[in-house]
Amino acid sequence: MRTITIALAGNANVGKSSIFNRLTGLSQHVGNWPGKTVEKAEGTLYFKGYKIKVIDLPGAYSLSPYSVEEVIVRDYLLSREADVVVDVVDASALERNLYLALQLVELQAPLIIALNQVDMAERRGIVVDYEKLSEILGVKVVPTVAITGEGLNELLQAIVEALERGEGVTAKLLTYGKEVEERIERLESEVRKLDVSEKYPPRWVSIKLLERDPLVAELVSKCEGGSKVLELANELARELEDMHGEPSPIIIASERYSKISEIVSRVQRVVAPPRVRWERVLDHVTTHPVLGYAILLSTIAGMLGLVFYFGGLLSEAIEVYVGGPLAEAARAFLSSSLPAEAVRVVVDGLVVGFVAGLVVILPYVVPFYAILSILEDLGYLARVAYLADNLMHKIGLHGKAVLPMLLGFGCNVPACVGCRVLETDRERTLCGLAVVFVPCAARTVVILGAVGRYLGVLPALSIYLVVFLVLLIVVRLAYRVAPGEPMDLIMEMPAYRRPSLRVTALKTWSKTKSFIVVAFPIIMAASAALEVLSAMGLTELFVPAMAPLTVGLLGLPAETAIPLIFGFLRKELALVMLAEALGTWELLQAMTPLQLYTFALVTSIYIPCVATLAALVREFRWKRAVLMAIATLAAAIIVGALAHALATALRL
Amino acid sequence: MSERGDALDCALEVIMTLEKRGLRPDDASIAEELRKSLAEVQKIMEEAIRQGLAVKRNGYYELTAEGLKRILRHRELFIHDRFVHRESRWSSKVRDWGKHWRHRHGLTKGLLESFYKALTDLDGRVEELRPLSDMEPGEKGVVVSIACGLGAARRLAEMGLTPGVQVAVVRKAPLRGPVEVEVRGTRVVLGYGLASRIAVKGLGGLT
Repeated sequence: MRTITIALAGNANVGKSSIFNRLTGLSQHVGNWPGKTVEKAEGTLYFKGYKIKVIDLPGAYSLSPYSVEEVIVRDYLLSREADVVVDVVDASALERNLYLALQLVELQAPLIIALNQVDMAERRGIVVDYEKLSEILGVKVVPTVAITGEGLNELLQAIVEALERGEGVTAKLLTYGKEVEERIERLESEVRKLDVSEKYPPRWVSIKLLERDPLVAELVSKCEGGSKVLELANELARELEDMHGEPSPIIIASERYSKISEIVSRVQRVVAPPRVRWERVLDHVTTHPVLGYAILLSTIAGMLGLVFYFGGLLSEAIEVYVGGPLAEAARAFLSSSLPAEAVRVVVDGLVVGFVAGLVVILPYVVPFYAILSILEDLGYLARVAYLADNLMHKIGLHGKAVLPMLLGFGCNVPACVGCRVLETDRERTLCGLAVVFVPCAARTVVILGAVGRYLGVLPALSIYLVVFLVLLIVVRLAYRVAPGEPMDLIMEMPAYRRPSLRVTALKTWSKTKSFIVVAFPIIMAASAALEVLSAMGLTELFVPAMAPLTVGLLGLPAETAIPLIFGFLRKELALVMLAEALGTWELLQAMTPLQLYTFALVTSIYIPCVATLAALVREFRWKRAVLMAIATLAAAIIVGALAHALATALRL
Repeated sequence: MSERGDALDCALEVIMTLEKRGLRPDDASIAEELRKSLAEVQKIMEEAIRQGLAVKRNGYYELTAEGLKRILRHRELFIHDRFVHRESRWSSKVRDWGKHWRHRHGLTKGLLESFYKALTDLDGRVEELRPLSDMEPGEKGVVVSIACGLGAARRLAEMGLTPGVQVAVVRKAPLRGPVEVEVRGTRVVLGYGLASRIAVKGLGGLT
């Protein structure tokens, strides 16, 4: 059986992932691109005696060297690992989508175009003559509807045929306007003499040099005679800039777009005015200056309410019907062969930790992410970003940061991964810092369980208010000191579309996965470590050592040192540990209401938990992760101390 | 700038626009464009000639090199105060404008040149340019210049927002929220700050 590799390239929101999921189903493997925190999805399928490996490249609008995703796509394509590159093009936004296609043509990638969402284009009254497009570009164009799987067989057939025929799937040469084209050709004849031209297409290298692409310039400068070519490239780029009065990257971009306009005018017809359908009504209502915000608030409140109400019920059920019996069974099974301390570590540590992970993940995180995935697929999250842009600006971020922040309400670990939606390193880091302050499911359990149950709903809500205030202040401060140019929102607004169950399921899985892979093992290990420490009686040692902080600064009972320190390992256990440390569940007998309030406040603010710290290290490296942790710790102590000082001053 | 100064700049703008269209500006045509009386225009132009900004030959006005410089400065200030640094009170204190654009507003050398070129090539008066963020939903316009850092300019170009492209405002979020525009058949959302740095000429010509 012959194995072939195909790579899927395309803009965001064109249904690329849907095609990938349709093609590979559950046989997919998601990892990271080597050395990068960008997801790499791979899968395999079998078709007509071929084993086809499918690589889902990150979504990209361009192949410029300025974003991690785009560099990954470019490097992958340059490695010539893929036998065929399938460019997924959104038929309803042909002009913008062909921008990437044109760059793939420049790169002389073995190209086949999947003209996707033809159904949606039709509904908008747009008809694309795909045969004509194929003729102009010189590559096969296959119309598809990824959501229903229409056209995917034809796509696979086209791929196999192209390879079997043995003839190149390389596109025709597209020429640009005279001024640019002449310069490309002049440069190309020089580039051909260099040894880079053996590895990379000389025309592509020339275009990139004209665009002043720093990575390609570096490649060329390493060649023998390269510096001369670079000089020529600079001179030619200057000439263009003098003529057009634009920086050369923008001239070349305009040039590509004018070529595209020419192509589009030949292949696309607008046959009917778009019909007013549910999407347009929905679009109007959900972005309305008044209704839009009302819908946004009720959506978020409804989602959180639903998840925490039903999640709570489910979580208790799992604890009682799964957790209890499992621990009993494990205890019964192990106690005959192991000493009592070891049994305790395994059962109360590993097994209970496992159950705790289960209790958080199943009832809260999965439904929460399922709802978010549906909203994302529907196109609603882009509207949320639009509406929330203003608010996010207040903390120095822009609208897109709203998705990771929402994820944070579930669990901070996937939320840290979610920060990847932002474009620049600066923004990702600031968003990571913001995310860490968002009260996750575990902290919500503490806030509701301690303050909500004993002091009432209003004090519980006030904790949220304080936490968000702290978030605002800390991130704003970080915004001031973080190096780099702040970026404004530039986002495509996708049209509303029907979400597909399959895609939702897979997306939910991919978001939940980081929780399972990162958080789950750490929760179990932390739980076991906690048992080891308390079995050895070491936890008690922290009580006097921490007294200056707990008693002196925060005005809490000395015993709270244990839940505060070990809350770092398992935040949702902070409350249980508090009750154990105080020796009673009647918390208000051992603590004043204010102490309980301060305790919950401090617990909600400082370093989320060890699993989140691990996620931060993975996403932002050690230095920044530690800085973020210190920031949360400092904020928690300051806020706690302020609460205590204020209460003392007011003699509360 | 005094009232007279503003009127002077407007008159010079009109002369430049008419010249660019191959027309020969005289008192009457300037008066018509400015919607002012002939006597007022004559008074303004006398001042212009006195300052060496324009000359009068056979009843037609021509800009001098000084006049051209003055227009460019006027346009630069207009864009700066109206688009980039709204309600700025500092622009009169800026000595080196090139430096100011580079350091304060992140325009690289290439972008700065393109910005000046756009100012020189502008068809019509600079007062006709409006920030994209000021356009009302449903309005259409052509992108003339983009005064932002190269990173954002490049991203905009990739999304299809290149100089010369036609855009239509779809909607605006309240309280200086983002602006949604339709460009090349797709919808793109731009933050308010960015949208206010994109100079657009409303479709409909000189008004």
